[in-house]
Amino acid sequence: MSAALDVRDLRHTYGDVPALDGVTLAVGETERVALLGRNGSGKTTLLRITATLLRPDAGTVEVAGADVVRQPDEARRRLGVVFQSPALDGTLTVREALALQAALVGVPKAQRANRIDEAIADAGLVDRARQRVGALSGGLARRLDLARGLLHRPALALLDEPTTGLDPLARDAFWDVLDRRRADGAQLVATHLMDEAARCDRVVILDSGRVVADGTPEALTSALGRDALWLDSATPAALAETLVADGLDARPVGDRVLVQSPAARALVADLYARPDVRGVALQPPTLGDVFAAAVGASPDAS
Amino acid sequence: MTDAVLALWGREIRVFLRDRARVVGVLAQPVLFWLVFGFGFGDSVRIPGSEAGYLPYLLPGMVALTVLFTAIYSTLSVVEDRQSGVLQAALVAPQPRSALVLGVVLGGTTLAVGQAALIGAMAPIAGMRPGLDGALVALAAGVLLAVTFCAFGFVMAWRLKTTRAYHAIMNVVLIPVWLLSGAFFPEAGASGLVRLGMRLNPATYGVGLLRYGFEGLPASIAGSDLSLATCAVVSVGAAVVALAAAVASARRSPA
Repeated sequence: MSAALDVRDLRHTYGDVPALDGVTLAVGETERVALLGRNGSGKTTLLRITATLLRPDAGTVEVAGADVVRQPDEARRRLGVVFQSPALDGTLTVREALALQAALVGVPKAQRANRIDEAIADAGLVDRARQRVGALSGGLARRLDLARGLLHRPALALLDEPTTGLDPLARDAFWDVLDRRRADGAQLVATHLMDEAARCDRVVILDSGRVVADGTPEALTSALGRDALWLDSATPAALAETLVADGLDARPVGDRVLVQSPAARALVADLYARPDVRGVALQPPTLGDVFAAAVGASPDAS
Repeated sequence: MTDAVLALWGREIRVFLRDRARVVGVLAQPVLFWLVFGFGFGDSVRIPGSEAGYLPYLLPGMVALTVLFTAIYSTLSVVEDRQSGVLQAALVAPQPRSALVLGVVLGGTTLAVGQAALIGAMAPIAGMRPGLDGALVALAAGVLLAVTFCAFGFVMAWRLKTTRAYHAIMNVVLIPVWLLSGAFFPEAGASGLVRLGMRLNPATYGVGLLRYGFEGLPASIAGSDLSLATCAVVSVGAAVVALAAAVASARRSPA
């Protein structure tokens, strides 16, 4: 399988501060990959270098075979970029904004009108095509910006935290548009949101400029090998203390006790039999747990 | 590339026309200046080597003012585009940076020359009859001045992060450039240092060329001994140098 993105031993430093410390990463032709990492982990640097906006100190990045340093124009032709905030001129209408993009990315003239119509339909903006971009709600503007970034059907779409600040419904609508364009090419999505990461084929976690985890969401969560048990108890603090004394990883969380163990399933019956336990719930590890384990903190801490 | 240039060009004009305050302000200012200064100084100003009054002397100067201000401030869109993210989207598009420069410069030039032409059309009120030849030379002068200062504005806009910084720098640059261009007072009566400043100012030659146009291609223009050929050559040279500087800037990462 030829790669939409091939990053090899990429290094970059801002002054003395290393941002990328030897990142190697490949994204397949129609793969969707989530890029996770705390702020300052190197996500944005990786995206900026890939988008040809920043020259790396060392290492190579190829976008569908085009080297971003040696053939930036070729790389740009194969790239679509959706930034953290919409790259749209509020004074233009929806259709004008897309027409400008079509000219910039060189969509052939014969296909332009059709392509713009499709993009407007995809983004759910058919009845707003003549409205000014500045009059759109945040969610609609993001969807238009996504349509803009994907207008030329790039081999690789780069999305940098594209749903920041959107409400859950607007986020879902955004991802629906992204889903509809999956056949066009690969998608690399930087995000802080675990449910967005779960919608990807693969998850790559960056920490201090290195890849610390890379795999499908299922592989990563099962590799963590630690199911969580949530115990209901009238005396959670005392219960947690007893369990810790028994050698378990237990801690009170609110009015429940969280027990994490590779043998969690085998413990269910014993724990349920205890008089100070009213109920037991078994929960497989989530991507959030994977993230916390990989970077040594919870995603909320970033 | 042509396609991208045309699209960027069209956008500059669209964005301008949708901002009514900008349209009104840019038109009203030079007209007001012209009437106030022209009638205000009236007979108290005599231009060396000219029988005509100050009003006809000042008209090409006001045309130059309109060109300079509109041309330079049109490149404010570059700063705004960086803030809105539109610039980044253009930078990751598969276009040579010269396309971006040309789109911005042609857009600004169209606006600057269009507005200046409205002021220039008042020439008959000042008793000036440039004729077709003269009008074409004046038009060419306007285009060259506009290209020069749009490109210069682009270079500055590429380096400045905020519109506030842009306004601050441009006011410092624009007023002296305009005052020392022969638009407001002639070189002939100025002192040595000011004269030197005027000779070094590329706008002087654009304004000279404008005068040759408005005065109907005379052998020499009021208040200056610059020849038509000198004005034309330096104006073209300034436009080429400024465009080259803008393209060179654009090849580097923006601020």
